[in-house]
Amino acid sequence: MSWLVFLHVTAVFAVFYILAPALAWGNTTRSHWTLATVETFTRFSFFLHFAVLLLGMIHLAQPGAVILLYFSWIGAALLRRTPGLLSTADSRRAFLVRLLVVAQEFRLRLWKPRFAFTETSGSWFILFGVFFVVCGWFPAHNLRFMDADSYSRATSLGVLGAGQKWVVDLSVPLLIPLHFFSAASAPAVIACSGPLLAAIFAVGTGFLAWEYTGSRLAAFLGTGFAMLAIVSGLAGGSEPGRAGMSAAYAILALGLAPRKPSCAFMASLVAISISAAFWVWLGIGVTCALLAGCGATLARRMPGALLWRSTAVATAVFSAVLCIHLPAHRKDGPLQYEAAATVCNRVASQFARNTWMVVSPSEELPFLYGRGWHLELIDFIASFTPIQVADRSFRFPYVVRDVFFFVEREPLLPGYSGLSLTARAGLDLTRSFEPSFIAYSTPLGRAALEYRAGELLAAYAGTHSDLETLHSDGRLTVYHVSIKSKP
Amino acid sequence: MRDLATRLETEGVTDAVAVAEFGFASTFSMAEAWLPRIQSFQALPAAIEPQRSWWREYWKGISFALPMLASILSIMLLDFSLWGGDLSPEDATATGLGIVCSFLLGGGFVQVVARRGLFLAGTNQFHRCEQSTWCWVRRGVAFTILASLALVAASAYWDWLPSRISLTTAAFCVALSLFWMATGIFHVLDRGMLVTWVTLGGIALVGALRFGLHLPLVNSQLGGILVSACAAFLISARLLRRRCEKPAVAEVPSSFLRDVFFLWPYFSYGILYYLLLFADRLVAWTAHTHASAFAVQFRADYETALNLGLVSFIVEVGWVHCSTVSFYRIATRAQKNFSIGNTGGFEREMIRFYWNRLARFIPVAMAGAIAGLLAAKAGGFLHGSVLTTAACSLAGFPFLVVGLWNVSLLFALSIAQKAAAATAIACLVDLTAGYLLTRIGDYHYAIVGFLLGALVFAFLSGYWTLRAFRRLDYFYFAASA
Repeated sequence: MSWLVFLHVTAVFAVFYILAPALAWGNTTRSHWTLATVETFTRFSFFLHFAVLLLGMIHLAQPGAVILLYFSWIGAALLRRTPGLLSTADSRRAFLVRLLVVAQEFRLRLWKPRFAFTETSGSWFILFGVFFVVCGWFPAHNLRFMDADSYSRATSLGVLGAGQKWVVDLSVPLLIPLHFFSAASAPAVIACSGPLLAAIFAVGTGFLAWEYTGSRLAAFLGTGFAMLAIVSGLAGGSEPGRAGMSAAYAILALGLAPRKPSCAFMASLVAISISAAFWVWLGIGVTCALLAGCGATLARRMPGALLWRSTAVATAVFSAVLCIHLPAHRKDGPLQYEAAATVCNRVASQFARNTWMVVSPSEELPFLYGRGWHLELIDFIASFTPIQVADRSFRFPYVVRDVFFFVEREPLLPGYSGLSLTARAGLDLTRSFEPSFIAYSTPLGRAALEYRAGELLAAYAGTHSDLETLHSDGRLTVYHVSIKSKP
Repeated sequence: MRDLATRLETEGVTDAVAVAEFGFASTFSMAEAWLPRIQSFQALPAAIEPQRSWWREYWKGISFALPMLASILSIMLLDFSLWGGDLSPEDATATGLGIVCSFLLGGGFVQVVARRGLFLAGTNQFHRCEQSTWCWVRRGVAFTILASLALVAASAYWDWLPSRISLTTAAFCVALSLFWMATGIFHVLDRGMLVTWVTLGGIALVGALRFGLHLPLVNSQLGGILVSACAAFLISARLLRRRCEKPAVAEVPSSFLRDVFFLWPYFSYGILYYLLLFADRLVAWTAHTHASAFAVQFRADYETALNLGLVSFIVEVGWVHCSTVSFYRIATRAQKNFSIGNTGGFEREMIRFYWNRLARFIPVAMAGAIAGLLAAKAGGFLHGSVLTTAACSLAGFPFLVVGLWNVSLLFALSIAQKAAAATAIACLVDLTAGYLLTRIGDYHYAIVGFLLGALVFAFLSGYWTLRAFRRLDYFYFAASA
């Protein structure tokens, strides 16, 4: 993924999840704009989450239905503000006339910002800019994920969006409109959702501080502290997964509870349904909000001139600490080589849809789901013998034009990442009789699997001229066979 | 006297106008003053209306569908046509989508051009008719080109189709929209037969380009359509200009916004009607495409089954024009037979006329559909799920025809909003049912959506038509005013 994709997905999230619902719902109760925006976001998320969940359960969370659902909510929100619009023919006609008059009087004017760019807005802008750079650094420079759950969620999102048989994963329904509107691949959406929901969590912490203290400085400090907590990995990792997503709604529920209890209930339902393991995150959020409240109380005793300087100093400190956590180059793996994900993306963009197949371990599946076919490496080596493929008349029996084989020359150890040699030795392999677990997740199984795949392809290459190397970097080799061409 | 006062008010002579411009105390006093003079006028001899035979009316009724019929026959006999034919799956997808998009994008403008043109020509405002026609054609062309470009951009963004196919789709969409608009002007000019000649000329040109110059079929078709459209525009321009030489009445200036206010139901109907006609195809073409090469996949077997229904539709649709002509004839006659105190009798006779026409049409249409289906089955053209699709399609089109008749009556009574509303609800039913059924089941179930949509269209438009018939004296007067 690139910064461009990251910024694009972020912009789509901002427009379709925050701006459009907020504009459609409006601020009819004349409450503070922050409360109105958070309330709308919560209502919208609640509706989307459970409606897409229901659609997904009957395999209908497909683009048409989801986009219709989205615009139905927006339409209903707009109609709610003008209840008499569709009641009588006269009111419809009056609306049309008003619309025509507006169209007649419309003049294209150069946009002029209505808000002043103050020190406070500048501080917020810098804080969010730095936070997005830090949080988006890894997804913007890498395609692979660092944890198995993200692979599982990316596959789940792809399956849900394609209307296939979906094993319910409550962390993905909310991301479906983002997937459709941004046209980004499921892994890209999952990768971007981490920083986006981390930002929502941080804003939620600021909102919590604001709601209980009424201090803008507290809101700013709360957001900053939460950002620091996220990037420093206090909550158990710098990439918020489903727990972070759940915590974002839990903290919003706490913030909404005093003045909008029904919305707080909605947010808490969303949070609990996504994951119940948000307590650590929630604790951190509440602590940050408390600290921010204390900080703001102390700051009130400062003279006015120093007060705005304290915001500037806080911005500088937060930015500096955030920058320290800019992720350094991470070791390739642990579940997939970066090159494997990159080649998958390249193949998906260069070859016609569903005319090709990738033979590889499961980690490549989310990167090509819906764009091409995938065959597990373990199934491939179980289907053929070297003698069989060495026969000149042998053809791969796949109904596609191109097949790509991903063979690790330096096998990865997905199930063992982070374990010491002693710990590895102590693992009980008899806990699973699943052959794919033994083949993919044990060092010997994985090495044997990759060796056999290499052996098969070497035997094939001896008698066929259509095998070519698409990518090779010493750790991973990707072979390409064009099924149509003659040997 | 009241009648005259009402007519004066309808023409804009309110009390204030009667005082300011005509020197009367009120509209009533003006009517009172003028009534004896009007009664002394000698009645004009009734204009002898040319009696056209029923088959001429029928032919006029199906003239708008003749390009479609000529195309189907040409494919059956020659294996190519102005569009469609023996194409690769990619080109078939591009052409199919292009045709549907051209109807959806151009349909509203064709309807507006026709309605506005017929009204202005009918009131002898020929110069304005010419201006309005070209103005709306220009708007239509600009809109179609912009919308096609937007579709190409959307396709690239969402990766629906490869760029070559989406560009071919856009080219077909623009070329065919031009063709529909040009042939739409022929209807304003009451020259339905020219549509057939232009279509046949286009098919001949495609043949020449394909077999003479050995151009690919898609390129030949694009050339054929564009040349036919240009020829149609040139002929229409000449005919419109010639009309302007006729003596005309004083012309009322118009504004764009006023036109939009009055024409939006026709414009919406023009788009929604084609959406109703093609929604099931769009639903079927996009169902279960996760394993196919494109996000939109042309389904040849579904198309074959639908074409059978389409042929029956073309045959049946002539009845709509005949029935509408009968409506005007019977209404004029019935109006004279009943006094102003017996409007109930007039309405009852017209409602009887309505049911009579329906009672004659539905059994004949159904019998024709069953015969067509049996013939197709016996001939071995259809089998399995395709046969079911064809049966549903043949069952649905008669209801669509009934709906069209209702719509023409609603237009005649100036209740175009109801026509647009009935079509919109039918489209919603069609899309919703088709989408749900195809996503859960097979893509052939899209035809059930069409069948339900056609039923809803016929039922709702019929309901609103009958409701208007129960106050026909009012609507008939309002429409003529």
